[in-house]
Amino acid sequence: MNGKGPFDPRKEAPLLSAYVDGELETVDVDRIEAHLAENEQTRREVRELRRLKDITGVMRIKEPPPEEWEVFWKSVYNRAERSLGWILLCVGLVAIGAWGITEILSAMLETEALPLYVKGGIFVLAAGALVLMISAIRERVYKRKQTRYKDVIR
Amino acid sequence: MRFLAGDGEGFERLMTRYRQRAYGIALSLTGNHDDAMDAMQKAFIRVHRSLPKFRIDDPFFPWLYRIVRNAAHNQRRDEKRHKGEVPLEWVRKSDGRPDPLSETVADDLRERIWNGLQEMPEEMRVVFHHYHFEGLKYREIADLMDLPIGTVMSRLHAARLKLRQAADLEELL
Repeated sequence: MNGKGPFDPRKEAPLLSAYVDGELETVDVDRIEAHLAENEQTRREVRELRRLKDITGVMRIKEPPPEEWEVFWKSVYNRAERSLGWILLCVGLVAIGAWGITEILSAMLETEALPLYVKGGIFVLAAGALVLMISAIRERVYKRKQTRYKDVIR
Repeated sequence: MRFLAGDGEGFERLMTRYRQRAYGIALSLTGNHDDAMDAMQKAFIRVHRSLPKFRIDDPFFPWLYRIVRNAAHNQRRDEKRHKGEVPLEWVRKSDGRPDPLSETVADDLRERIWNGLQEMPEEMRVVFHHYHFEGLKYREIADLMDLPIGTVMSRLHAARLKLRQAADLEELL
């Protein structure tokens, strides 16, 4: 005895696909064949699965023509170039933005016209924004280090 | 592998080896040729950028598979659906006729099978794709998708039942 008992098509139907695909161990093949010998409905099910496999077995995914792959590669390089352009643009904007903000804050803090509590408020506001930015960047870096497939697009 | 990040030709040669498999996966996930190609472009750029960080001892295809899969998911989420022609074909026999059906039945069946595949849940469709169109064994699919082999078996079986029903194949079976 194999300890598994007779094959039950209601509970173990997926085994029929594996049987048709030759993916079962001998013990399960024997159980199914014992069942098939006595059950016409399951025999029909197996015949249908085989026929479906025969049909899909002579189909394949069309390969795109070579000229389409040429266009594909050109697009890949163009896109890569554009994404580099975007990165440079963003870095430049951040640098100029940071310089601008620093200049504005310095001018505000140095002016005599603003009362001390407003200057204090501006300083606290800037410090708060800086802390939030550092925290967000640190979280992103931490997540990248923790994720196994960090290079995968989410 | 790392040096390929800076070698356009080497990178292209490497990706050409895998492009049809990658295309098949993208196609099975996006459901149409245009979105599949678009997802592939994004995935290949990602691969190129990430090659320097690729661990040389790891198998390449599972890594590529995950990148393509994620790009295809994003594509499916972001882009409106294209329809386009059915990207399946019959493997021709030496006499030039599709086997085992007549030409008219074969064309109609090809379309019904493709539409049936698009109607089934993604987890079934992908397993079906790996088994039937890539020719992988159950164990290979389980390893690639990080699933128990029993799950592969039940998804493939469920996919076949769905396909039989959705593509109205009963008359042929």
